[in-house]
Amino acid sequence: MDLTTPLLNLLPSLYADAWGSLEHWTQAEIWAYADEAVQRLAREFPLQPEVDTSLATAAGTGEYALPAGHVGVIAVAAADRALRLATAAEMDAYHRDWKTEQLTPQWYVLDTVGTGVIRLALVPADIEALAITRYRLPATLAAASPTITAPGILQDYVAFAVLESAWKRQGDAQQPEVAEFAGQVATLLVSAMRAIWRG
Amino acid sequence: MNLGEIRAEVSRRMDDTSNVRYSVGRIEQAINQGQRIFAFLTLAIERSAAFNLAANTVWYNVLDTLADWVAPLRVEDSSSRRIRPATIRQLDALSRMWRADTAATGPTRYGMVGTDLMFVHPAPDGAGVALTLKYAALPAELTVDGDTPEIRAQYHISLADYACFFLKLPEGGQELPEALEYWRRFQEAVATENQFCRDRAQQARYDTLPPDLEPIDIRKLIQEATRGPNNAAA
Repeated sequence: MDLTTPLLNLLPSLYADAWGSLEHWTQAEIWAYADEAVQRLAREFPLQPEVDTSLATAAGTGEYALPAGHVGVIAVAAADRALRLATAAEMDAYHRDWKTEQLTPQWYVLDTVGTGVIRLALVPADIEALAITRYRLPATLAAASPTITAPGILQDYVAFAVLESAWKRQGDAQQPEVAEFAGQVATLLVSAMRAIWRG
Repeated sequence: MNLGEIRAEVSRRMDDTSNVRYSVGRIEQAINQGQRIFAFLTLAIERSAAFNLAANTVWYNVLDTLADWVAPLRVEDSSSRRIRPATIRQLDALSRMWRADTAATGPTRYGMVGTDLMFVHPAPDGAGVALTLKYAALPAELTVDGDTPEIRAQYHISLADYACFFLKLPEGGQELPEALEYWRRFQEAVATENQFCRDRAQQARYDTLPPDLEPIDIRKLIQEATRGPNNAAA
């Protein structure tokens, strides 16, 4: 979906008929509001779900950095073999040497250090392809990069989120009560999206 | 009603039949937006499409094939037998190697992750296997005066309510209560159709139900928006 036309269509609501005639905001600001709204949405549910296959295990290496833009893990498989989620505390209780002993991994742990690392238990002894089903942050939206793969209703959520941000901004065009309502409509759409797509 | 009639109704309500303040394009964009939001909150538009599966492939991004996709309602295999939904956890419990399973006849289970990532089990072991997806869809854009909205006819006038709301909203101030009154009428229509579609989906045992709008108090949204600066109701 290309957000160029939906944002262009929004300009009359911002008292302009072209990007050049916007009086109280800049084109970059409007795109920044749109990008911020989409990034917020992507944290709520898998807006852009994918199966990431960029990682492969290395013998003797248990810890791997998660791919860029990572938000949440849904499932992990190594060589098509489903791994079970475990916590570090559970692995400590199960096996004292789970961080050093090499065998075929059966679990994945996400709370060893920070939120950007996945650890396999036990430590891989061979090379295996990892498939991480996950949801991630979308690429930054801007006038030069306006496309995103998402259902069409996204353009309407973005419209209300942009209107909320624009009318909330301090300045001559500030309309807090209208911004509040635009935000509530965006929230209504998010609630529906969550109900349909979060499962 | 068709697009031309809805647009004329909006122009009449806005006292702008010559489309000086509110252009034809702007009104039509609002009508299309209203239909999309109506369809999304009710899952009222249903479509059916063949979905071709690739050999030994488990994962599919449905939006790459069906641009109007919202959610699955009913999935059937090539013999018109229903395929039931499953979660990844359920398939993990069935077999840890389920991702590697294949069958000549294709899948007996499918599942969804997020907006459009679909997985099937078992994957077909050759080409030429297709599913029939019955899914909730977003409507096609209305572009010419004779185009008729895809939502049910008794709700076409609600699109005029929505358009009036969206056109009046930026004016704020004393126009806000009038805008919100149009929004309230639109939401009442959405709520009625949503309940109808939920009942229908439950009867049909669809895999996705329309969202439950009951917990969202539309009246409270409107009251909060019309409060003055000292939290007094307008």
